[in-house]
Amino acid sequence: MSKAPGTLEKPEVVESTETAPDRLWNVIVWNDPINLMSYVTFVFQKLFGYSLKVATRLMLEVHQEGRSIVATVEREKAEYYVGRLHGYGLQSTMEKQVG
Amino acid sequence: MLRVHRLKNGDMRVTLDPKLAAILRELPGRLRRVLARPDVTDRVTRRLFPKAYRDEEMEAEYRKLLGDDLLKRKLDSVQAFEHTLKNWNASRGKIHLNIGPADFELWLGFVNDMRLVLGTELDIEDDSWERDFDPSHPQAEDMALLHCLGWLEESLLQA
Repeated sequence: MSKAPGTLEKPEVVESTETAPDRLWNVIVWNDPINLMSYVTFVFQKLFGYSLKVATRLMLEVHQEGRSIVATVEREKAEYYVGRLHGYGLQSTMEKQVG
Repeated sequence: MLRVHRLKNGDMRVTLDPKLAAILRELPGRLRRVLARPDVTDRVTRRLFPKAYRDEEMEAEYRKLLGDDLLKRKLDSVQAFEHTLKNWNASRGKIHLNIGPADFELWLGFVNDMRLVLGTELDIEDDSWERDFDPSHPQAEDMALLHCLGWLEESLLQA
């Protein structure tokens, strides 16, 4: 079975060789008892273009660990993602990457 | 009774009982009332408009930049849902609603926002509420509605 064009097989992480690491921000999604697991997976696929496998892994991380870093990007892009995630009704925050 | 299937033209068709359709028709007004009085001290507002930053200053700056984009998106969802419910057709005692591809995400967004409102008002904190459903609970009606909307949302995602 072929995968949909443009799907990502790993979470979006800007390499620190491309951007100074102190300028990168983690986009975090927090667990909540109301959103459906299938809905969270759908949002990750739709917004980030992740494959079903990656989206499901991140959703399970949110569900089991309480939170998951779903992307590590520059601040402006992180704000864009967080805004969209809030639009979808997910609890999301952003934090400067440490180290 | 509630069924969702995808039509050949890409539309989603929702088939449901007139009684359930009447209940769904009340929901846009309920979400509009919440959105009309955004109050940061209100937990439902805080759930619909969560913070992006822990740092208060950064959060205030972010809010300023964001403006009313998020509110506008939520109101668009209410409108899309309302529009579909106004354009229903009936056959064999059932109500049929058609959701076009352009409205699908807005529709899904409305159903999800409504679940967030209900779940927050009901103080849902874990998955046990469905297992321990008590029909004599004073908010049993909203619990049943939350369950029903969950089923609708799941059906939309699987169709």
